[in-house]
Parts: sequence; C-alpha cells; structure tokens
Amino acid sequence: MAPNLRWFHRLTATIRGNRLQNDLDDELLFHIEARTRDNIASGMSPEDAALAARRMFGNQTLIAERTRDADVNRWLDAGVRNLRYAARVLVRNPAFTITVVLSMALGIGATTAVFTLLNAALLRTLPVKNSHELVTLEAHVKTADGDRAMLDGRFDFPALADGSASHVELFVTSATSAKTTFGDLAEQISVGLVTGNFYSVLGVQPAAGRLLERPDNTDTDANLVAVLDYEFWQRRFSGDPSVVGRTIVLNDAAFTIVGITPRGFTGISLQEPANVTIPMQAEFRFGNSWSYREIGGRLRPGVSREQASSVLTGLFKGRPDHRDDVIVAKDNSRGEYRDRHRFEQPLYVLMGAVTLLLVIASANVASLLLARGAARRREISIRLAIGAGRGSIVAQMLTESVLIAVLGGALGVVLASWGAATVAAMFGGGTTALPLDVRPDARVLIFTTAVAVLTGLVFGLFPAFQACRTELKPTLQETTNVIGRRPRLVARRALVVAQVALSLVLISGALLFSRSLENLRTFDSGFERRGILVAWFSPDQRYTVERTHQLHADLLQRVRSIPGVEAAALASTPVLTPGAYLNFLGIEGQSRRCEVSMTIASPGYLETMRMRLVAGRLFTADDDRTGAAHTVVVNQEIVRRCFGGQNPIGQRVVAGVGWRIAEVIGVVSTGKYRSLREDAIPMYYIPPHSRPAPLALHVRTSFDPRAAIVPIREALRAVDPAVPLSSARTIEEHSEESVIQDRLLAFMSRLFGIGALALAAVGLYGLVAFMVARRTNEIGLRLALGAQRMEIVRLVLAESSWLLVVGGAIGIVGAYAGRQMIQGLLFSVSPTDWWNLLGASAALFAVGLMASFVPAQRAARIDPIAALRHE
Amino acid sequence: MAKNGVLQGTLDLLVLKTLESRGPIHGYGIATHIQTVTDNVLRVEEGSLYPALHRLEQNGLISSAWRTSDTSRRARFYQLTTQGQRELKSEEENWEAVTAAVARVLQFT
Repeated sequence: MAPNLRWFHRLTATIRGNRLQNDLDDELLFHIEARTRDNIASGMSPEDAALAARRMFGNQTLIAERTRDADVNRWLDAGVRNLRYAARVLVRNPAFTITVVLSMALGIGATTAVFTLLNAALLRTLPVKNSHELVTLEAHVKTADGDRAMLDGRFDFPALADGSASHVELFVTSATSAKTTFGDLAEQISVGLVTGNFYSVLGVQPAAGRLLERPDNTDTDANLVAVLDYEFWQRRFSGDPSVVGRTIVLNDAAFTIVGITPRGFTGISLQEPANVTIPMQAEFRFGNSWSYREIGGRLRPGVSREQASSVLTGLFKGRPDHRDDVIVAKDNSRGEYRDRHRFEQPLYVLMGAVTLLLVIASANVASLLLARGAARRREISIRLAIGAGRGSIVAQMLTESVLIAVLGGALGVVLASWGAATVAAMFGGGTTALPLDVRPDARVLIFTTAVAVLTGLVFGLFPAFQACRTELKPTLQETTNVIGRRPRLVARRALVVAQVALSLVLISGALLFSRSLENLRTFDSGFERRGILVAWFSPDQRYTVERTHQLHADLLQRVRSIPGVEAAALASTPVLTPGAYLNFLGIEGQSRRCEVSMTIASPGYLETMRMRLVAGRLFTADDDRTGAAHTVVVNQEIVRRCFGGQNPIGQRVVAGVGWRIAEVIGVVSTGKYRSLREDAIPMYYIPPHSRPAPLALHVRTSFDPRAAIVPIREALRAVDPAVPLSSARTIEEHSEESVIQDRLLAFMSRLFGIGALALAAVGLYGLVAFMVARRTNEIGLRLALGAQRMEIVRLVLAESSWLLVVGGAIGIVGAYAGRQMIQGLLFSVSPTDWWNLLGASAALFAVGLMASFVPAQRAARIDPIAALRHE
Repeated sequence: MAKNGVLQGTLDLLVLKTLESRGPIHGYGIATHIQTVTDNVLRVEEGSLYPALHRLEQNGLISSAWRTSDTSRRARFYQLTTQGQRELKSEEENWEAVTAAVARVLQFT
C-alpha cells in the first residue's frame, strides 16, 4: 500500500471493524488450511491433519484479537495511553487537580458567560432561512438641522411594496397591546400586527394550525384571525393543540386562533415577542391610531442591499413632500434589537477584559504545572533514559494540560450558563435590557471547546518545553541540597510578572468604569433625580379636553395633600425615557425655524423637577387657563441656538403645533432629557391647555417615592374609580435604566478586577512560597550566621516587590496603550487618569505584599538548626 | 519452538528478511520458510506472527494485498516497502553488531 494511503487505511480499519474482522479470519483460516494440506502431504489422515494444524495454531480467537489490536490500537494507542496516564496523574494529586480545574473553570466559565451575552446580543441571526437576506427600511430625511432617521406615514406602503417588488418583498410590522381575559383573569397582552405576507416572506412553518396568509389581510369580520406565540401558548394554554379554532377576545373583538408560531421564533425583534399576532388591517379594532410601524422585507435572490435601497429611494425622489429623502435597506439578519448599539462596545470591551482574566487564570495553572514539572523531573529523566522520545513526553504533558482545560471547560459551561442567566436577569428589567435568551447554542459550545483546548495547549507548552530541556545526566545525579546551579525560575517569574501586569490593566479598568458610573449617577443633570415618582394613568374616551383638564386639577389637588408629598405636577414626556415631541420653533419676524424638542408641562412641573430658572418666570396657574395668552419657557440651549444668545424674555415665537404665537416668559438651564449622555438638547415647555396630550403625574416626596404609589392610587380612585393607574416608576429608576450599559461595565469589570487581583495574589504567593521552600538551607545558614529575622522578611519581600514593580510598570504601559478602546465609554473621567493608575497600582502592591508576607514570615521562623540538617 | 521463542524484536528482523528474499508471500509461507531455513530450530508462533505482520504494516514497513495462492485459495500476501528495506538494512547491521559483541563476550575466557 502506498504510504500516503496509510492514514486512510487506519481510519477505515477503525471504522469498518467488521470488514476487517472477516479479512483477518480469512487470513488465519488460510494458514490452518495450508498447514492441514502440508500435513496430509506428509502422510497424515485428513482428520488428524486438520486437528494437528489447529492444535499447532493455538487459540485462534486470541490471535485474531491480538492481531486486530495491532491494526487499530497503534492509531489510537498513543492518544488513549496518554489520556489514561494523564487521568491517573490527576487522580493521584487531588489537591493539585482541584486547584487547576477550578481555576480553569472560573476563567473559561467567565469567558463563556461574556461570550454568551455577546452572542445573544450581537452575533446570533434570526432562526429563519437565509436570514442574511432580511432587511429593515430606514428613511433619512434632510432637515434644517441635518439628517434624521424616520420612516413616517408619508412613505406610502403600497407604493413602496409595488414599486420595489422586483428587488425586495416588503412587509409591515407594528405592535400594540390589548386586554384579554382567561376565565376570571384579565391580562394585558402584547399584540403584533403584520401584513399577511409576513410569515411566508420569512419562510416560517407553524408549530400547529397555520400562520397568517395574504388573504387574511383584508378588513372583514370573517378575517379576524390570530396566531399565538409558542411561549404564550405553552404558558396560557399548556400547549393544548385544540386551541386552534377557538377564539381569543382582544379588546372586545373575538379573533379566531388559526395557528401557533414555531418554537424559538419571536418575530424579527429580539425583544418582547408579541403574545398574539393579528393581521395589520385589524388595527382599527383597537381604536388606537397611535402606533408605530416598521417596514421590513427579504431581498430577492441576488439583489444587494444597495440595489434595493436605490430602487426604493427612486420611488419617492423629486416628489414635493419628499425632497431629498433617502431610503436605506439595512441588514436585519440578526433581528431588531433596540439596545444593540448600547451594548455593542461594552460587550466587546468586556470580552477583551475577560480574555485577560482567562490569561491570568491560565498563567496560574501554567505556573503550578511548572512547579510540578520541576518535581517530576526525575520521573521524566527516567522515562527519557528508558527510551521514551521527547516528542512522546511533550505529547504526554500537553495531553495532561488539555485534559485539565477540558475538565475546567466542562465545569465552566455550567458556571457560564448560570452566570449569563444571572447577569441577563440583573440587567434584563425595564424598557432597556440585554436580550433574555441566553441559552447556550452551538456557537457558544464551539467557542468554549476551542477556548478550552487552546488554553490547554498554550499553558501546557511551558511545562512541555521545560520537560524538553530536561537533560539526562545532571538530573539523575541531582539531589535536593546542591547549592549552586539551580534553575532560576525564569518562566514562573515571567508568568507572575504577566499576571501582575494584566491585573493592573483590569483593576484600573474596573476603577475607571466605577468612577464613570458614579459620575453619571451624581453629576448635575439639570434637575434633582432623587425622590420623584412618575405615574401614568389612562383616562378613557369619555374624557373630553375640558373633562381631562378638570381630572388633572382634581388629581393634583388630592395628591398634593398626601402627607410627605412636597410637590406634584404633570408633564408629557418624563425625563430620561426614550421618546420626545420633536417640533419647530420660529421667532416672529424671522424666517429661520429651529428644530427643537417640546414638553407639555403643567404649572409647577419645573419646580417639582427642581430645574433652575435662569431668567424670567415659570408657569403660573394663570398661564394654564383656557383662553389665556400662550406662553412658553425655553432652555438655555434654545437661547444659544435660536436666539443667538440674546435675552429671549418677552420675545414672541411661533411654536410648532398649530403655529400659534406665544410669548417667551422664562429661561431654565439646559438639562438632560432623554438620556444622561446626550448632547445639549434645545427644549421648550408649553402649558397643557395649549395642546391636549397624555400627561404623566410627577410627584416629589420627602420619603421613598415608591411608597407614594398606594396613596396616589387611592387619590386617583377618589377622583374617578374608572381611571386606572397604568404604571408608576421613579426618575431614579429611569436614570438607572439609562445607564444600564455603564452599570453592566462597572459590575462586570469589578468582578474581573477582583478576580484578577485574587488570581495574581495566589500566583505570587505560590511562587514566593516555592522560593522560600527551596532556600530553606540558605535562610537557615543566614540565620545561623546572625541575620535578623526582619532582614529575612525584607529579603523575601524585596523579591516579590521587584516582581510587582516590573509587572506594574508593564501594566501601566498596557493600560495606557488600551486607552483608545474605552475612551468612548467613559463619562467625565480620562482613561489615562493618573490618580486612577496610581490607585490601581497601590491596591495591587498592597495585596501583592500581603500575599508574599505569609511565606516571608514562614521564612523568618525557620529554625536554623533544623534547616541546616534538612537535606 | 515456543520453548526457546524468538527474541522480541528479532521476529521483526526475521519477517523482514524473509520478505526480502521470498518476495510477496503469505503468513503461512513466512512461518514455513523460517522453519525450513533454520532446520526447525526456530519456529515462529502464529500468536506472534500475525500481530507482528499487522504492526509492521501499520508502521509502513511492509504492505499487503489479497491474491490467489498457488492452491487457488484467496490469501493475504505481504511484501517489503522501501521504508521496510531501509529498516531491514539497519536492523541487519544492528544484529551483526550485537551478535559480534555477544560472541566476543562468550569467547572471552
């Protein structure tokens, strides 16, 4: 057989065991037959000849087995033997094994946990066929203040869909909520609205029944059909397939359930899957004209996103109300996820950080393996002496370290799935969240396996090389008390220095992110964040504009009389929540219009928020009377942008809605309105009578604002029991949500920093203890010759200080080099803040010295007599 | 000749040498060849021969193929590879050196 086919042959020999066995039996049988023939030829009777041949051959089965072993085993042999030997070595040293496997489990587990989050938020594609063809449309509308992304009603869907049908198949999605009842239990559930082609374009198959189809998208009562989400079906109907055909009542309209979506499919968004999905045309049943819509679709085969975009843009180009609007088909293979941009960079930075942590953990394991390798030098020498090849010894060492890493990795996966779920739960609340589905998938498992094997090989290389360098004669002759030539532990020192350096990077990162979060929490946002509750209530259709006004007045009066309530007011858009009224402001007599944001605020709102009045006055009750002259309060950013910094008090402006003329009566300082990190937003306030809109109650309390929920609910009930309180959250909660990525960074980096510090301390301790143990004789000699015990302690500490200083210096350089990566994530703290680096170094130095103090003291307590006798 | 069995390692040498001189040959042929050539002094046990043949093949020193024997029965024939020839040469030299050395020890009185 040609040599290059040998591997193939071994492989087939292993796999096709049966065929091989037949071949082998044939071969052995031939041998017996041939001998029988020869026996007959030499004059035996055929029976005797056969018997003799068989007897001479011996145990046929045994021979067959041993021969087969030669075929199969050689291939697997070395690997299996190494593995068994490695397993035996690990079992024989339980303390060592537990230490290294746990270190690896922590390192790999943390890495896997971060990767699980990263995968769920950034990498995973939607579970539909050819997800790379999915797009979502975005319109870029040119305004006076630059580009803005908005795909509003001006883009007529039928025109879009028909005009681009050759390039892309489009669908519309929207979302709302509806009240439904299960027995006595009323529940508000989320409702998805889609055009009839939604499921067929995505290519999704139902778990039961059918999904929505094109004919469903017509507006007749016969077509009130609904599809249930798989999870919702499991939760509410215990997965009962007979619900298909039954009806579900949504806001008093009965919908026929026609089918169930497949498991794991949550639409084209990662967040908040709709419990029930109904045809778009049924939207009017909800009496809810306010509802956003999104247009998505699938590219036709072979069409690029650029081609689709230019076709779509061409459809509206030049129309009078569109000017230079541009429509862009954006990649939606991963599904829509509102907060992806917020978590993208933090997750990559955390991935980097956790990789450093893994390196530190691996360095500890490598160091321990080196220490043990030194203890095993005699064993290795003996094996070399009796003819083991260096290659086979290296393979043996690597097998051991890979086995450690794989065991650690297996344990790490368990830790990671728990850790990722915990983190997702911690940061999964509220309106901004990490995606909740953090179950490990194939990609995560492949990642972890690769990481485990790779780290096993890398940290296994150190001891393997060390074993390679083992020389025969000197080692076999070596005894433990030879003074003089002694390996200088260069590799282990280097590992500790690397650990110290990486730890410094992680600790300074943790300090930076913690300080950044602290800054975000405490900086002056233009209002007082503590102590305010924001409550939404929902008056029904009975409430006309006048009645709503009266409801507001009655409610405010009652709430203000609750003990502990310092102030109460109403406003349309609570601060630090997404969403705002965008508007234009024109100054009377000037043609220029400014693009600004607007908040409808009752008298007392600015005071309740403790926003600072800079000039003029705030709203009074007189400003909010029906028929009162229109007045506005502007912030300083408006003064800067629209008034050129001139005093605007008394100026008359035209405010966007209705273009009514209003007088500027006051200026407040610019605050943060939608998020804490935003650039200054121009904002003006108008009183509620100028424009009816849903308003939220803002209540400032002298106690924990959450405790005000119950009395506020009672106050509302006293005014009108039919008006429910729909939500109540504090501004502080909004604030915490708006810094969720900073909290994630601070929390995780602190964990990693502490982990790094602990691992580096263990590494340093191990090395110093090892050095002290090896120098027992020398230290004993020094003590015998009159050295003071403090001198011994100083001697040992000097050694570790040196390692700490070198590692720290490298770490500072590393932290400085990495500043670009985290610059954008920090809030009013410089990534190269010297105090920060100094603090991190001090912490590291203190912990490092503490870790070395224990072995240093042990060194100082050495009994010189015993030490000198100690061989 | 189970009693004064062939030294481990020596069997490989005998097999390789047999294959060199007898060309493609089956296992039984190898066994009888060694027995005949040594006037029944050396008898190769089947229990050692077949594992050895398969091991040598896995190591690439010999190769095998199924052919029809002179009694028109299907049999597995082995032959040396180039690598096997090299190995045989060095094994032979080694053997000569060892036997010469042993002889010198035995002759020393």
